[in-house]
Amino acid sequence: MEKVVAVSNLSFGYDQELVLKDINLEIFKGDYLGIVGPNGSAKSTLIKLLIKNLKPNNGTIKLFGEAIENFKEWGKIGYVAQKATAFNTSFPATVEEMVGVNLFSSIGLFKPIKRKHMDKVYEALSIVGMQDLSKRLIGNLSGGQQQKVFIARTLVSSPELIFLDEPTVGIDLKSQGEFYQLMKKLNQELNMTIVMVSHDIGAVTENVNKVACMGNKTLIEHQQCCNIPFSEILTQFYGDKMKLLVHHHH
Amino acid sequence: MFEILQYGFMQRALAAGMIVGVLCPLIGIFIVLRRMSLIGDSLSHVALAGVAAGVLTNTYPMGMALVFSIVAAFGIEKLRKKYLEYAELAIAIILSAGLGTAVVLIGLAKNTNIDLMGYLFGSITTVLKEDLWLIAVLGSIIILSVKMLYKELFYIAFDEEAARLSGIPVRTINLFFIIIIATTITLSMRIVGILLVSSLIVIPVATSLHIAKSFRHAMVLSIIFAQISVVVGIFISYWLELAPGGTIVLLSVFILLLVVIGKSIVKNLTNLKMQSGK
Repeated sequence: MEKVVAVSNLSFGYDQELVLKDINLEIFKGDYLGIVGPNGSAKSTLIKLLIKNLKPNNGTIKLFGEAIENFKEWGKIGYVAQKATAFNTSFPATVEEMVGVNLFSSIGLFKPIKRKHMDKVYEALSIVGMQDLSKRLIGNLSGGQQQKVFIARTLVSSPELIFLDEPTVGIDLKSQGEFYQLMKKLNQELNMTIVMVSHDIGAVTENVNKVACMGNKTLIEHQQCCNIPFSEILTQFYGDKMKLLVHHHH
Repeated sequence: MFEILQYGFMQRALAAGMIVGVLCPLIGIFIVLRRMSLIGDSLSHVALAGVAAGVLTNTYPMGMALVFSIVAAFGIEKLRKKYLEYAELAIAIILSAGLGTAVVLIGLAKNTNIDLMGYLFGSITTVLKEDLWLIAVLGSIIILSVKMLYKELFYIAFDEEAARLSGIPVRTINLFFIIIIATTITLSMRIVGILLVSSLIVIPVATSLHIAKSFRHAMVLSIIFAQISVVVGIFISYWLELAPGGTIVLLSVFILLLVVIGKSIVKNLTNLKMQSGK
């Protein structure tokens, strides 16, 4: 199976203090990886290292087999930031304008967005179910709808790997359900590799096929879905007052 | 009524004003949306220092103003990275430095012939043919640059981090855009003056944001509002013998108030209609 992300002995710190120490992680094509951990466990930091927003102190990161320092095919990678829904809601951009600009990697510098490019925009919007609202101003959408538009923006460049950082923060329960359905669709039907940081352990373990727990400057990977074997790992990171209750809908 | 158009100075004033009436809102929309609305004030005060330096050294004052404001623009960009959460501090620091330098240099130049009032308040009726050529050539370059970098500038204004990840060379484009801002301000100060150039950058954009249905719509509307302000403002200032720069800016504020009040009236009428329809 193609290895899309390979992290080896990764360490990172701010000033003198390390927040990540000797992290190892392998992500394969088609993985749907959930990364969980308490506040301060450097989950978002790890994602920022993987998209080259931060530079590690030690260790190596490879994306699609290429060392991150030399990696150029950023169009293959999508990223939905933690603050994606905390943007300037009065920015006068329509949904289609917002999604269209992420075609930069396929259109190139200095060239305008033409009508033929808009097909990709409408395709991305229809995947997330937002095609009927393409002319709506982004600030006039609900939190869940805005989240879908940000995902469409990521999809428009046809990425093979998407990183999502706390994507369900501030989103109502119904929209969260729709969001996880969408992620499942992207992973299973479009074979997209998904890496999602989330506090919602229950939702994550119900939906993903791989889980990684972070804390104490480390990362422990766990390969299974909804059943609980990693409760001991949770105890290690969250303390012994943490207990995972699994509730199945019939 | 329009016989004044036969006068050369009026033709040049209108031509220069209309070019500046495109440039200011064209860059203004990106400036306002990046929360850098006071950058016009900051760079125009630095440009004043450049004018004074030009007079003192017997160099073309507009040229010195351009050099000073470009250097200051780079300074703002550098400081902005140091004060990430307080971008306006970078603008305030450069404004203070620029104004302080201007006051000192003007003091040193008090025995030389400097048309200080013309630079402070604009002297659109004294635009020479050479000035108009400079405005036209540089203005065309700026308009073409914004056209070619439209999607890049839009993405950076909306989400700089996402723009960087998509492959846009954000740093280079930011530096180039800051040169464009400095150039626009220097060209515009002959029309509305150093004290008012920031208003022509910001107010038409502020007006368009009330009624725009898309980003492109906002850009077109702000240019229309700026053009109305400039053209009508020049005519009114001629007929009523008022300062052209001030008249243009007051007219743009008047248009803003009209749009705000108009929008409120339309909203109330729509609500009344909906309630009576129930």
